[in-house]
Amino acid sequence: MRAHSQSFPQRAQVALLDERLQAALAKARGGFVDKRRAALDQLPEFEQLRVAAREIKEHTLSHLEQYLMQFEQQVELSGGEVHWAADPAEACEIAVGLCRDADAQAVTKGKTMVGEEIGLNEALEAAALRVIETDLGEYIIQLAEEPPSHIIAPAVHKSRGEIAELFQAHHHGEEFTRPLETVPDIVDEARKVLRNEFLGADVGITGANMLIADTGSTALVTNEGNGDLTASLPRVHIVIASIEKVVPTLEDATVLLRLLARSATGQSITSYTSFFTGPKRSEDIGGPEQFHVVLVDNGRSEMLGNAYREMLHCIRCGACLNHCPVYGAVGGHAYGWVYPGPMGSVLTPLMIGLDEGHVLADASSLCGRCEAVCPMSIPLPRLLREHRLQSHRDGLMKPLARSMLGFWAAIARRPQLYRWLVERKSRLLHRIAGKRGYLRHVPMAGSWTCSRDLPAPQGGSFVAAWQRRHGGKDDSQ
Amino acid sequence: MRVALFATCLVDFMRPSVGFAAVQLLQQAGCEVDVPLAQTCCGQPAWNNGDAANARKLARQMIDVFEGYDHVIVPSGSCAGMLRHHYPTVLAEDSDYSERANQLAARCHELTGFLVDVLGVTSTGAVFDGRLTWHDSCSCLREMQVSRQPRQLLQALQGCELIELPDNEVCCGFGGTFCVKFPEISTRMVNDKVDTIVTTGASTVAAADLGCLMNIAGRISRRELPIRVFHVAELLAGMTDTPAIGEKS
Amino acid sequence: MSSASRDRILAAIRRSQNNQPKAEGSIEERLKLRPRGPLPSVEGDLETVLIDRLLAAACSVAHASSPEQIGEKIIQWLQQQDAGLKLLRSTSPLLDSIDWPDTVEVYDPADGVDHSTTLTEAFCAIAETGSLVKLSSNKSPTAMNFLPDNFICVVQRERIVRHIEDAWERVRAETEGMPRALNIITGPSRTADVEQTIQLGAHGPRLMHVIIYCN
Repeated sequence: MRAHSQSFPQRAQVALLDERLQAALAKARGGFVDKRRAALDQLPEFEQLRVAAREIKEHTLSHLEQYLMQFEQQVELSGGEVHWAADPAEACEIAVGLCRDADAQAVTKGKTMVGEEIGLNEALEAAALRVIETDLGEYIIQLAEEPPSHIIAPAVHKSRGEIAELFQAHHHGEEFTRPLETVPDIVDEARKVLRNEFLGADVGITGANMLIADTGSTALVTNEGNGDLTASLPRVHIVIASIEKVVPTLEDATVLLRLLARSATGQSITSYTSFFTGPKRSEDIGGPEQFHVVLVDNGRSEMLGNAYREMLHCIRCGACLNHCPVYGAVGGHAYGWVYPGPMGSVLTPLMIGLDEGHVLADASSLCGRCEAVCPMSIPLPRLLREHRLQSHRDGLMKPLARSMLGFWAAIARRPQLYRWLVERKSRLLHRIAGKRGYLRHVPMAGSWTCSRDLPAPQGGSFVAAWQRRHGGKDDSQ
Repeated sequence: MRVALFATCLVDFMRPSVGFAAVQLLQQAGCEVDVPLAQTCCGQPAWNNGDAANARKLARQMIDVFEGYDHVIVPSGSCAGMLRHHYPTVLAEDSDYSERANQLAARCHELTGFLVDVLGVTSTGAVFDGRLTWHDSCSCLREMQVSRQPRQLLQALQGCELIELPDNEVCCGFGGTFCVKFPEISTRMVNDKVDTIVTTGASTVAAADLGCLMNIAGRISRRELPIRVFHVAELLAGMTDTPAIGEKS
Repeated sequence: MSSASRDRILAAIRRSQNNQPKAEGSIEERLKLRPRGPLPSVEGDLETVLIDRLLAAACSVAHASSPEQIGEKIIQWLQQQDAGLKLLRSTSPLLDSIDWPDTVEVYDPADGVDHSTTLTEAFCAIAETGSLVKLSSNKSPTAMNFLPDNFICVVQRERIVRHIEDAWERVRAETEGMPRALNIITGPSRTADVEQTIQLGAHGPRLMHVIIYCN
């Protein structure tokens, strides 16, 4: 998927003025935040689970090579195949190749963020395959030809009316209720349309929330059941998963599962938590004849060895998005690529390059709420600062901003000059503001005064004033 | 006990009354207070913008100025957080200063956290008549773990009715340079913050960080709302006769 | 080529791993001992907790103490739902022992799995989450859990376990290994993708009826 992250500032502005989007975001935010809180109030063991989850991830990443090989071995023992893809192009090539080998025409898909990351749908369609997203949110945005705006609820930005319009434009047939008004009507219609697709697909492609090394299983968490229908009905099941998804055992997976649904939707568990291990057994009724796992690297093996390693702990729950005031103000599309919000601001520059993605790391007040709610305790603000440090080294900061900060630092390094300037400037602004107590227009401060008054300084440096009153016993320098 | 006050650039430049209030509170609690003349900026703007070199220079300078006191007190959660949590990282590679950074960090405190947790103050004896609401600034809450302490002291003010602010944990949109780098987003955030303040019916809002307070006061002023904005130190020291932040004199 | 990539990726991982401190614990030990993490406290009688959580997950629940009663309860439920007395059922010793009256049309998976009501038996139930565990097999195609409008599932009371990990223990003890599909099912299918409003019956079953069987 092409990245438009550089235009975040402009997209953000458009998003702030989009009333439909703002209404949808407000609704979603309240729901996610409150439901998560309610779920955690019912789970006194939450903090212990967080600690345990972090330990599992650290242990696994420390032995990632061995666990991936164990996973591969177990998949093969159960009759499946594992493929390794270093980058998006290779992953798509493998997936397309498997579909061609299976003489496939129609492909159903469960929601997979890694699939978006590698541009899978475009590659499949370019190979003349018909691709049908089956997660309702993904289906909606597929019809709208838009990227997802949230990693858990891809169509969170769409109102009921917009969805109804899309369905009315794309679904034709007497069996459909018209006009489409209620939520049940919309969901029922999606059910009818997608049911046929499920039954007719040659290949089903899903993601995986986790890969279990011990058993060679892939775990998939859904509420709709679309993942299971995608995985179970077609002749071929392909799982696209990134390498950091592996965990050692089912017990380890269980720790993460306890955190995942609660952090994402406030459920203790989703309607369907499924584990797929290999193709159908010879005596099974139904099930895919082929089971493939495409392991995708795309920069993760490198992250494992650098300052961003902890980003590999992410279980894609979306809690950081839901609690981020920036995401909450502008929604997911402003981020311009696959992953939005705090986790997206860390990941995107790592995957599309810092020169394209650095503005995302900038667009944060570093409030830290993301880290506070992250079930895996990922230090997101620290990782954002890392991007900023690298951006500075790479000279990516706007020249004016860079020189102003440099100027500020130069003054701050000269205490006498600093103090003198503070004395002078604060008194000047105080005089200009007069009795009003604030300034409406200040040169070079348009970004502040466009929407805020600037409170007037009281006049004079505090430190100088204190020194005048009590000075003489100062022993600094 | 001999403490140094690191006033912070915003207090120094914008609002000396916060500095004087902080000194008064510390002296009242039995401290000998010094305000070193050579203090400037903690380097947070540099650090948050990735300018490691300048952050290091300013950190070293601060350490030189503030060593030798029992404690360093800061009337700001974000600057206290810079000293306490970030200086060790900023100077981790500096063989001369890294240990000194650790030492200083251990002795840095946000003002209200210090008053309650170290000095055991339960009441400052001041009066505040009216409805007050409290904004938890992000660094105060998350870096300095200070939220219970200011509430305790504010509730002890005679006549004070402290109302909890809904979404008190949500950022006000200041974020240092963030508010001028992304003004539209920052405006949305501060506007939401002011909306929730209005719902409390409070006549006054306070916080421990002057940056947040200027941001909130600036928006309140633009919206011409009759809500007064004070720094917690001023309230606790009973210094509410001076014009509030952004208020006309 | 995938195997060249495999080598490159594993080599890159190895390089990165060498740059980082090793966390505690050996892989052999972990795979052998399979340590459990913190368990949420689940107090009380397992069946009571299970029923409570099944209901919270929008299931309906009935009890039966004989195969005949299972049949009766199912007929009753289908009539209540106006669902028509037709069902596709999987095989198990318990389900096979149900004598269906002529009024009920009973189908076999070998003849196709797309029916509006299915009847299967769960491998076990998990009280912690209010879930039923289904294993794919030659007796019970996975599709039977997902295609119908009405999903009826019988679980034997002595097969209710307390925690999710207890289900793993059972699978290890009682089977040859993981089945092709293991589903932990907690209520009917649902979505909140339209205006954050929960709607049941997204793609999978609209209704889930659980019969707890105890002889």
